[in-house]
Amino acid sequence: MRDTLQLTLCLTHDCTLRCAYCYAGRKYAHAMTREVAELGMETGLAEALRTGRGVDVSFFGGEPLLEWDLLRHCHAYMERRAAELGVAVRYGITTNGTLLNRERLAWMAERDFLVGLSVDGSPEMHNVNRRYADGQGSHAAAAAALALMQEFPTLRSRVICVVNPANHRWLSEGVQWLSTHYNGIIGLNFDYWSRWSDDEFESLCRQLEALQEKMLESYRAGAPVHEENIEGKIWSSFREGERSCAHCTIGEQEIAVSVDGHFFPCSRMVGVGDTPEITFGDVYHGIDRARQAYYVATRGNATPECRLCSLRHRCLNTCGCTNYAGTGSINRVSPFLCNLEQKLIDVADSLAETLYQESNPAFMQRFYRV
Amino acid sequence: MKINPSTRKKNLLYPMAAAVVLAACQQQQRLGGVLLLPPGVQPGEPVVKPQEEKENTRPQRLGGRMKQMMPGVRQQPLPGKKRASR
Repeated sequence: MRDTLQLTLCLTHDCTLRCAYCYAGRKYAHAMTREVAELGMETGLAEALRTGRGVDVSFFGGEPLLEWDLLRHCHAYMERRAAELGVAVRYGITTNGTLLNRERLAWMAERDFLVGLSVDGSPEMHNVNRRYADGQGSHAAAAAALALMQEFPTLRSRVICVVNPANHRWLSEGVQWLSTHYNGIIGLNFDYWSRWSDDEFESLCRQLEALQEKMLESYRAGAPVHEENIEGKIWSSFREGERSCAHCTIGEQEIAVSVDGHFFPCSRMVGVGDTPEITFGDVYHGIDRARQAYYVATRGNATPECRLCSLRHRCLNTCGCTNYAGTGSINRVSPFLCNLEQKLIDVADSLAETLYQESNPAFMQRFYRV
Repeated sequence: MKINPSTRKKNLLYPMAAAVVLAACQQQQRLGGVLLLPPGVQPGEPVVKPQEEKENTRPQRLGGRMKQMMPGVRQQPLPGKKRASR
């Protein structure tokens, strides 16, 4: 179990981009009011106090940097209230980078923000989906933001690379591009909302194998590429018999506040609309405890076939939002997830076995601390 | 595409070493997880000694069972231990 409450504030529905795969719904100029933001933060603080946890505040959107003044206001408000209540707080933001500049990065670095920058790899891969409203690709802006981030060596950061049926053909090249322009953690976010055809999935598998080769070469060269999914699967083999790191706390340790103040159990579910079957309260009425209890009781994996699977402890099968995206149910696994997870585990194990047999210094240092 | 549960019972060729328990816990903690350290071990404290110091010492017992620590270091029976007779 995590020891923090994840509080996500969706500061605006608006965005500088019109990405083809965005699950956050229609873009319109509608920002969160200060009242909603403050009430949302108060709910988060009260819940953290009630459960004895700290709070991770994450600014999300749309593009949250469109509401820079509101973001700063939220930070100041949270700092003051958390200090009064004795709650530990950390901050993070997910941005497309189009509105990042030195001043803003310096401000966030000083406050120990974790900055998640969305860059879908190489220009070819990125511009397939991540475009401005006029259809132009946004890779140049994302690359400039990535370069700017490198000027702040103490800044906590990660790069998020979405992989969907339209751009997966450039996956291994895309990660290669990222690894030559960024020296941190790269996280592949697979698009579980899309329908992947069998051919597209086969093609994705070939790309993952090519990525495995590139990661192998990078370890051998002493400059390893760190990709979260594949390295996460290596870590998962070490936790034999334990619950996976993907153990989902949906409804319990995560509150995502939509622009108009509804509570969602996960930030990835905000975009599907303020529907009663998904929300669990709002800033004016507080947390709906019955709905919360439903999420806690329902979450996990109720897919019968998975009970037979020898890899279930290393799999994302309990991730509520991933299941919801694939099947419409938080506890039912989609065929795509099942097949992808098995492929990722295969790739991770092959990589780890090769590097272990070679006693690769970078690998041994990272995974064995020797 | 359909759900296809794996029946693989593969023995991984990269073992879980005791040090990895600590490393994995630190990683999990960094990601917001709970720290699950062996009893008596503080965060940041090595669980096993480096390879050269570990030679000719008894294998450490963690979690109730013996674990292979490093390549080439195999489990040895504890001195003085006899097989239980029926």
